[in-house]
Amino acid sequence: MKNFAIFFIVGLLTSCSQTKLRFDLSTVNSKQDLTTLIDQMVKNKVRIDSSSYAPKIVGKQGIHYNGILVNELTYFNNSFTFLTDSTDFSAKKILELLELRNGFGTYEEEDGFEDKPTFVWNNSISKNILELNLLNGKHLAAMGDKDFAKLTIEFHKQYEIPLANIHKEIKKYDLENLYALKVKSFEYEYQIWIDDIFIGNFNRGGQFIDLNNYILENGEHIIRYRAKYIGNKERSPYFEIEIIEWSKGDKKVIQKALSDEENKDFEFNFSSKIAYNLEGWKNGKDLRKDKQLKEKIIELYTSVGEAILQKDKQTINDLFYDMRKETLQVNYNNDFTISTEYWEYWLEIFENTYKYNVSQVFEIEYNAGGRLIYTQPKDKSDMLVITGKKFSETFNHLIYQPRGSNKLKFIRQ
Amino acid sequence: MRILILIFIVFFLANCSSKTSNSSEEGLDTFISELDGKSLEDIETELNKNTKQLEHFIKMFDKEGLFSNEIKKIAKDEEEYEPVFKFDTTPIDELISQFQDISFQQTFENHNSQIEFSLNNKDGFDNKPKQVGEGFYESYDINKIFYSNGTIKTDGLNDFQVGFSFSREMGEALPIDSILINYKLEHIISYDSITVSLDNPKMNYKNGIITLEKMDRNYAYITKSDTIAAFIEIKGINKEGKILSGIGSSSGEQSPENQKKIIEGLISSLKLIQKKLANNDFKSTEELQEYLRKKLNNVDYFKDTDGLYHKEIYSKGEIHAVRMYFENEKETKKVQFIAKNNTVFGDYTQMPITDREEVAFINKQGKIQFTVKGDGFSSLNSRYYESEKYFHHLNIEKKRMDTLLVYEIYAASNGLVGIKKEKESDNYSLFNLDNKKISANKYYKLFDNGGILFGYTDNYICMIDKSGKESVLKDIRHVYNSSEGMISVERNNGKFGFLDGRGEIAIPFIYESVNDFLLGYTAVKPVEGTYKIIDTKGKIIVDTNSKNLSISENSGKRVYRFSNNEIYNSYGKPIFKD
Repeated sequence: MKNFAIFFIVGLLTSCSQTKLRFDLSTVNSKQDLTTLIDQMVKNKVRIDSSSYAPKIVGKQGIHYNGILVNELTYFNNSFTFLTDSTDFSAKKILELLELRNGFGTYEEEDGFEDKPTFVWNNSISKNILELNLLNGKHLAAMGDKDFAKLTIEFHKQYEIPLANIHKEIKKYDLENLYALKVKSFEYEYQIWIDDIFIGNFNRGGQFIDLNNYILENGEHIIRYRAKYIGNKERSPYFEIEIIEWSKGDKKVIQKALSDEENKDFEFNFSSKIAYNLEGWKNGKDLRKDKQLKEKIIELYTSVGEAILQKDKQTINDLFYDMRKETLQVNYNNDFTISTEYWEYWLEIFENTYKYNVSQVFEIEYNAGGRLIYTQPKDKSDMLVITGKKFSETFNHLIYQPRGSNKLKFIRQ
Repeated sequence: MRILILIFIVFFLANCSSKTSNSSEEGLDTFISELDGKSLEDIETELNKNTKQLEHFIKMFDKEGLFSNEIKKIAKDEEEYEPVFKFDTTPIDELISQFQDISFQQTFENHNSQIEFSLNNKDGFDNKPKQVGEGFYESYDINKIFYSNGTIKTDGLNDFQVGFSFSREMGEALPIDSILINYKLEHIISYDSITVSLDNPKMNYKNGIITLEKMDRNYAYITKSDTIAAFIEIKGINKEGKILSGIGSSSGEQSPENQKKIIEGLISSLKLIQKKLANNDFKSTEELQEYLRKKLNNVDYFKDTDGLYHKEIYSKGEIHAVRMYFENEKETKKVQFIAKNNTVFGDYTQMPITDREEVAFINKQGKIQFTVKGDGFSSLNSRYYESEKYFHHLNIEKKRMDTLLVYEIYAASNGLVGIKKEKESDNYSLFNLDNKKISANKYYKLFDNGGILFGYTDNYICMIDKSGKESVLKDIRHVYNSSEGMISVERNNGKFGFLDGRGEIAIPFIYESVNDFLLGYTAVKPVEGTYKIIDTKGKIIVDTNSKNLSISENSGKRVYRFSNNEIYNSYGKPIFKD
C-alpha cells in the first residue's frame, strides 16, 4: 500500500507537463501491449519515421512513462527503447519509479569514458536496461535536472509448456543446505556409493560430487567407497574424502576420512538437514525381477527419439518434467532463465535432429534396492544418440518405475 | 523496386554528363521495364513504402528548397589547397600491360553460363585490374569464346560483359576453354581550361555558354549548355589564384530551386498511382506500365527543358573564380588478351534451375544427364554435397541425390571423404566417391596438408592415399603446416624436421623450433643451438648466434629479425647487420 501511494504521488508529481500525456509506455508489459499502443498512436496520427531499420517517434507527441515525458521512442518486434526528456530530473524520477516497481536493479560497471550508470532488471517477462545520461548531474546521488535516461525493455519469449515454467514450481526455504563429496586422491582408482546408489568409477585424481541429487529427504545417509592404489610408489598413497555442507553460503566439513593403505573399503554415515521432501524413487518398483526390463528400457529411449523426430513437445514434456523438477528442487533453483534456456535447447534439438539410435546391448546397474537403475551401453557410447548436421546430443539417465505404473521414467540425469 | 526508385531519383538529380532529354526518356523506360514480371500486389506494397521514404527524403531540403551543404565563410588560415590540375599519363603503360594472366570461374544457372574474371597477381592479393582515374575511359569487349567441345562463338557477343567483382551471364551452359577479349583504353592527351568569375561571368565555349550564376563565400553555381561535353575537373579558385579543395558538390539537369519541386511533383504522381492501385484500377502489370509511360512521360520533371546542365560546388575557402577543364584531344590504345578457364569440372556439374526448384547435372559436353529437386547444393567434392540442413551424395547409378543422415563429412583433396556417423566424438570412417566404405572408423582427426591426407589414430599418424592405403609415419606425434612442398613435423621426442610430399624425411629431426618455408627459405633452431636460415635442402644459408627470432610478413615477403640486431630478407640476404 505504501509503495502504491508513493508510486501514485510520484506519478502525479511527474505529470506536471504542458504536453498532454496520451500514451503511457509503463502500461506495456508484453509484445501484444506494445502492438496495441503503437496502433493507438497511428490512429491518433502520431508522426512515425519509418525510414531507417526501426520505426522512430521523435518529439513531444504525448508519449510518457508513467508521467515522465518521452522525447524519442524506437520500437522493434519484441522490444522498445525510449529517451526521456532532459528536463525536470527525469533521469532521477525514472530510476525511482523502476526501483519502486521492481526493487533495486543490478548495477553495471560503466564501460568507457562516458558517465552513464546503468541498471538492469531481468525477470521472466522482460529485461529492463536503464542507462542514465548525466549532463549536469555530477554523480548518481546528485542527478541534475537536465539529466535524462534511456530505457530499453526487451520482452522474453513466453512458452506455455510446463517444462519451460518449472521454475514457478520450485519451493524456496529458509534452510537450503547443499551437500557435496570432495575427494583428494593420488593414484587411486575408486568407486563411490551413497545410500546404495552407485555414483561412479573414478581414476587417479580428485573429484567433487554434488550429493543433493541423490538425497530425497532429511535423514541419515551412508557413504561407501572402495579405493585401490594403482600408482608406482614414487609418492605415498593418499586418499581423503570429505562431506561438505553449505548453509547460507557458509561451508563446513561435516565428515572426513583418510587413508594411506593400498586398498580400502570404507563406509561412514552423515546426517543431512534438508528442507525438501521428494518422492523420487522412494516407492518405485524393485526392478531386479522384471523380465521385461531390457525391452522397457529400449522402449523408453525409443520414445524419446521418436518424440524428437516428430517434434512432439507434449511427449518430451511428459518424459522429462518430473526429472527436471526434482533436479531443480534439490538445488533450490527457481531462476527462470534456467527453465527457459532448457526448453529452448529442446526446441533446438527438434529443429536440428534427423535421426536417432538407441543402444541394444547394455548392462543394467541396480541401485537403491533395485528401485533405481542405470544402464551401461556396450554397443554405443550412450543409450540414446540423436544426430543432425554437425549437431548431436546423447542421453543416459537414472530410471525408475513409479508405483502403480508399468512404465519406466527418467528421474535423474 | 525501392532501390530502383531511389537510383532513378539520384540519377536524375545528380546526372553529371550533359545529355539531352532523350536520356531522361531512356531512364523512364528503364524504370518501367523493371516492373516486368512483378505482381500488382508487390508493386503496390513497394510503392507505399517508397513513397513514405520519398516524403522523408524531401524533408532534407532546406526552407529554400535546396538540398545543399552549408554556405559559409572560411577563414584564411583554414583554407585548404590542391595542386594545379595536371593529367597524369604515367599509368597508361601499366594499364595496357596488366592482362598477362587472366582467368575465370565458370558456373551454370538456368541454362546459362555465369563467368567471373580474375586477374592473377603474384605479388598482391587484389584480383582485379587497376582502377582507372579521371580522364581515362576503358572498355572490354568479348571477341571470341572457345568452348571445350571445339566450337568457337564469334557472334551475339555484344551483350556479354566482363566482370571482375561478380559473375555475369555469358551465353549457354557449355564448358568454356578460354575467351579472347579486346581491351580499349581511351585517354586525354590535351585539355582546355575555362575560368569564370564575377568580372567575367559568361564564357562562350564550343557553341555553348558557360555561366557563373551565383557566387557566395565558399559556394559557386555554374550552368553550361547541354551541347558542351562534361568537364573533367571543376574547382574553386581563391583571390590569390590558388586552387581550393572541394567540400562537396551537386549537379543535374534541373536547377537547384526546381529539385524540391520535382520531388514534390513526383510524390503527387506516385500518390495518384497508389490510389489507383488501391482501387484496383489496373487489371495487369502491363496496364500499369502503359499508364506510367503516358502519365510520367508528359510531365515536366522528366524532361530537361532548359537545355542547361547545373553544377554547384562548395570549396574549402572563399571562391573568387571557378576553373573548369575540358577534354580536347584523346588517344586510344588497344590490346587483346586471352582469359583461361580455371574451373575444374567434374563428370557432373550442377546447374540450378530456379523457377522449377530443381538442379540439373550436366556433363563436360554441357548435356543434362538428370535433374533432382532442390535449390542448389554446395559442393564438398565432385560427388558429395551439402545443403543447409543435410549432407548429400550424388548417386550416378540411380540418377538421384541421396541424403546422408550423418553428423559430419570431411572432404579430402584426394577424393576420399571421412564420415562421422552419429556425433562429434565419433571417429571418421573413410568412403570413396561412390560412397563405399573403405576403412573402419578409426581416425579421430583427418586433415589435408600440401595435397596429402593425414589421418590420426589412437596409435599412430599416417598418410592416406586415394585408395585408402596408409603409410604410417613412425614416431611422429604431430604434423604441422605444409609450405612450398615441405611439411613440418614433430617427432615423439619433441624434435622437429620436415617431410617431403611423399612422406620421406627431407630435413632431419634436429630442431627444437621451425617455421614455414617462404620463397625457398625458413628459419630454424637446432636443439640447444642458435637460429639459422636454411633452404629446402636443409643447407645453412645464414648462421647466427641468436637464440631469439621475430618474423614479420607483408605482401608475400618476410623479414627475419634476430636478437643480435641481424636482419635478413626472405632470401637470407642481410638488410642490416650490426
